[in-house]
Amino acid sequence: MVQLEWTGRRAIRAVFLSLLGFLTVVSGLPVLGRTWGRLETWVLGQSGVSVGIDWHSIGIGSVLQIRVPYPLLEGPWPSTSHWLIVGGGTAALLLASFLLPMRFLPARYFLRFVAAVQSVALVYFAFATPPFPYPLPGYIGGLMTVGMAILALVPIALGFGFYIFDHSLPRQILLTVMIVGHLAILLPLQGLVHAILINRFSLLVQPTLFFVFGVLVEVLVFVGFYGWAMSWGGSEIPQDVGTGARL
Amino acid sequence: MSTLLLVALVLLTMSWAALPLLPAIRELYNPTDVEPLRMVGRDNADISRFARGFREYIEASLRRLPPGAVRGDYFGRLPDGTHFVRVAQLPSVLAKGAVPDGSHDRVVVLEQAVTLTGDERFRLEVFARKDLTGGRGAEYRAILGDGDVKLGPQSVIWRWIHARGTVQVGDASALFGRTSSDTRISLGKDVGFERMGAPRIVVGDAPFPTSRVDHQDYTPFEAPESAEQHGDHLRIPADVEIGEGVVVEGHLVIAGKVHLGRGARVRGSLKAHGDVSLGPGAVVTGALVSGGSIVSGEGAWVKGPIIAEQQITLGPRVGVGHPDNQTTVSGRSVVLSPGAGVAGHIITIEGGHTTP
Amino acid sequence: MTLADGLALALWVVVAVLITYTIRHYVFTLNRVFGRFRQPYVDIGIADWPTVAVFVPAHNEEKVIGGMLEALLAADYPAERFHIVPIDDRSTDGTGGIVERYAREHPGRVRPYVRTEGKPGKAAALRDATSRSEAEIFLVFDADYLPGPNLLRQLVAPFFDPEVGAVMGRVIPHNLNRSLLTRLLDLERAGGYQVDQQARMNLRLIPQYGGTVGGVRRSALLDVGDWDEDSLTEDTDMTFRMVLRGWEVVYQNRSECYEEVPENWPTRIRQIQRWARGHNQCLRRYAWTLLKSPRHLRFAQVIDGLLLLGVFAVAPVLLVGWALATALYFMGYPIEQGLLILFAVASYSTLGNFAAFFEVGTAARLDGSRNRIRLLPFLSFGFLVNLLAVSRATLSRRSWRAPGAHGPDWQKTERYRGGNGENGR
Repeated sequence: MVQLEWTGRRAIRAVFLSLLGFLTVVSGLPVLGRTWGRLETWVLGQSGVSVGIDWHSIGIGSVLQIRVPYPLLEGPWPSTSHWLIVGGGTAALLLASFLLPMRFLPARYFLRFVAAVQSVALVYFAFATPPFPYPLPGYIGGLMTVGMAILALVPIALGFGFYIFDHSLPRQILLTVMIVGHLAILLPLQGLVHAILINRFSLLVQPTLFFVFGVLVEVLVFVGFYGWAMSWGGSEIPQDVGTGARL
Repeated sequence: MSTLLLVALVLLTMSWAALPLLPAIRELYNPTDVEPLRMVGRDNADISRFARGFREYIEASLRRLPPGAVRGDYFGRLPDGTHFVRVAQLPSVLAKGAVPDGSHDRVVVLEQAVTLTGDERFRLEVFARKDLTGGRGAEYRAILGDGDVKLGPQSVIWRWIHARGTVQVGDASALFGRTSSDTRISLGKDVGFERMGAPRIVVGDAPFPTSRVDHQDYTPFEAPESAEQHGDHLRIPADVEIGEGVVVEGHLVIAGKVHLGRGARVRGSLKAHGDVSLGPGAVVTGALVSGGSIVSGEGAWVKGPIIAEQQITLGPRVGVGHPDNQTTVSGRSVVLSPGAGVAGHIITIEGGHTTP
Repeated sequence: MTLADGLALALWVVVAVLITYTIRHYVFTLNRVFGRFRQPYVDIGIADWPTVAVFVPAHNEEKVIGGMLEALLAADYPAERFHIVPIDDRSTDGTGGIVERYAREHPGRVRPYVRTEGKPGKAAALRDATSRSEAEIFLVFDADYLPGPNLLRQLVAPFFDPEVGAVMGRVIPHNLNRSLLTRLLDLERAGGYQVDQQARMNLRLIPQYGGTVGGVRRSALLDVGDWDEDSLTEDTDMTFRMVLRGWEVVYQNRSECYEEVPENWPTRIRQIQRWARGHNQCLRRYAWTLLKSPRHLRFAQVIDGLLLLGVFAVAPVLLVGWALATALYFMGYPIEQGLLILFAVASYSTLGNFAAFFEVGTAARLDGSRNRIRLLPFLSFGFLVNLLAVSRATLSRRSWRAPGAHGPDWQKTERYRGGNGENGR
């Protein structure tokens, strides 16, 4: 591919697919919300946690009402033991970052980054007094709501980044379905893991989960699928039409 | 929640989140695309590259044929399996290789001078060891000629043509790809082309236009006050009209359009961000560069190269370069008028043509 | 206004900066894919070629200098019109001996210049060596590069345009099979050249002269005041001095040359930190002049120039953004306002600010080499290293001290090839 021609057809297709994808995802969000609710109830029930779920309502005008579920787990204020356990874990992370060989430098930096964010939380909770500005149920509700927004934005992001290329229509749809489908499963699992970890290790770990293992995970998933899909063949890939052996 | 369940849930979530990274991890540990990009060293400015490649291929292939295949007329296959026909005695044998629609699906090797009747379609290369004269309306994938090659009117070359002798192109022909000659390319009327290279490329049968005599009675160019000297060029931030018989000493860069009057001369290179027009007999002894189009009037001469981001139009008897000092004309498209001549290369992005 | 509001405002500024660079990536990538491909000079294959001197600055380059000289001697350029000047700047290894041997074997074509005094460093070496040459065009190659036979002609061709002061070709890693780092650098280079540089060329902005696989016109060099021997990145410095004086810098995507990229992280960090310090020097020196907008520059060029100058300063801005976001979080700033999320996404997608995913993926696709795009997610880790390394370099005092207040030394990137036997193409 040297370059592509920007034609009205290409533009219309990209815009049409983006809008179609966006509207399809948005119209499916109420169903998705209910499914997430059932999943969260089932997982909490299976794990013996005797809490229910609540719903955060989002209205898109009067057209669509979406209810986002979140578990009613409480995030305890850190106790001394919480602080020591998480502090110990943070120190271990830091130590591990120094023990990793140099060829794993990005991993070393990542571990230190996590440790740095966690250290700030440790310092904060060493001096702060309750209440914490972000109680756990509200935090999870916010995370799930942002997750739904990301789901809706996936086709829009692909509009300029993928639909403009000459992949076949099935492949363009396939990528969209894969990303949306994957995130639709990942998001409630991620919310539950955050909720249960915060419930278990106190609010001390909430900042790290938010900054490092929140939205960034969804973006990494998007990039993973995107990188794979961009490696697929498309009609714009140059084909050797000549008698190459002679030329 | 039991610790075991919590760990299981965390692991499940992490595994699911990592799933999209599998192609990346696989490519990292089982690389499939780890060779350096192969484009280093390519050179599209080498007009006769394909012809050289084909010559190496065909000569090596012919050397490897059994003795019976190199005597007389012969239908067979080259060592790589490609069908070919060798015409040593009777050009009429070409008919044996023809399919009903008149196409030849074989590489054709012509051992003797041949005149074709016209309307043939050669789907693979033609190698003419002697002169080749084509008829009207013939189509060729590619031609390599050791002598002269004369294409009839309305001929089509799909990929390339190269001759050691003259390439003479009939009216209304289309030359896709590369056209080159070691001596001369002579173009008829309304001939389309993409890339050409020869010591003499001329429209019609006229001799190659030569450079103009440098008179001594020119009027020196007076630069406007806004002009600034930058290194070895003078920069003028406006449109410029260089009058008739005016001479500019040194390189000139114009931020707008420029027109050289009749017989004006730039003893250096000339660049305009806008369009350039050369009046009749105007001369540029260096390069001529335009961010727009270039139109040169009758009998102008440019030592070259000429570079334009839009169209280049060479008027009647305009000369570019000299057979002993060849150069390049490179533009989005190029239009050649009767008698115009270029010594060297003509390179277009969107194609060019001679005037009807 | 409360403290939280003030911090939020500052964070919005950071977000605006990041979004600006994100938009830049999109504009460049979409232009590269759909815009008119502008490369007006590269097809000049035949002409009355000017005289050329090819300079190869070398400081302890015994592993690679022989291969470089062999490649240059094989160049398809009129032999009487060019010569090679290996600059041996106080090498303590076998570089001098190798260069001398080539000079003996190719008298007149290889004309070594040996430096034993004066300021060390590439810029100072070039300044000394070029001042002794009468050639019209000076090409510069680092000693570890492997130019193909047509490259000299391709790089000289733009100089037929009398306004062109500097030319830059494309750099392509040839040792990418060595580690994850080399593969990531291969992707970054693809994005930087195939998309970034070519889009600048297409849009008539400011392509960057990169100090190797390129060259300058002698008269332009003299017009802008020669190489700045105090500059850590003489290439960026030269780019902006050329542009500010009205010379054009041209990028030619099809003039490719192989290079060796760093194979280990410490080498990469040193390399990028040097680039960051040098770039920031240029930011300090030229940002204000650019803002004053010389009349020959278009508004788009000024904006592009400022963004180019600021590219390494974005890393610490990003870190400041993280600090602000963290502070606001603990101060109870409502997440619902979306600011923190927006920041997280914007920063992630522009992290390190060298090649966003879309740009890199598109570049590799344009190169027709697709499977390597699968490594895109790993670029995040490379960006993280860049972010921290560049921030450290940017926040160092050397980044902001006036040129001349320190003596730049040879900032060499480690070489990996074996002896001369491996130097061939």
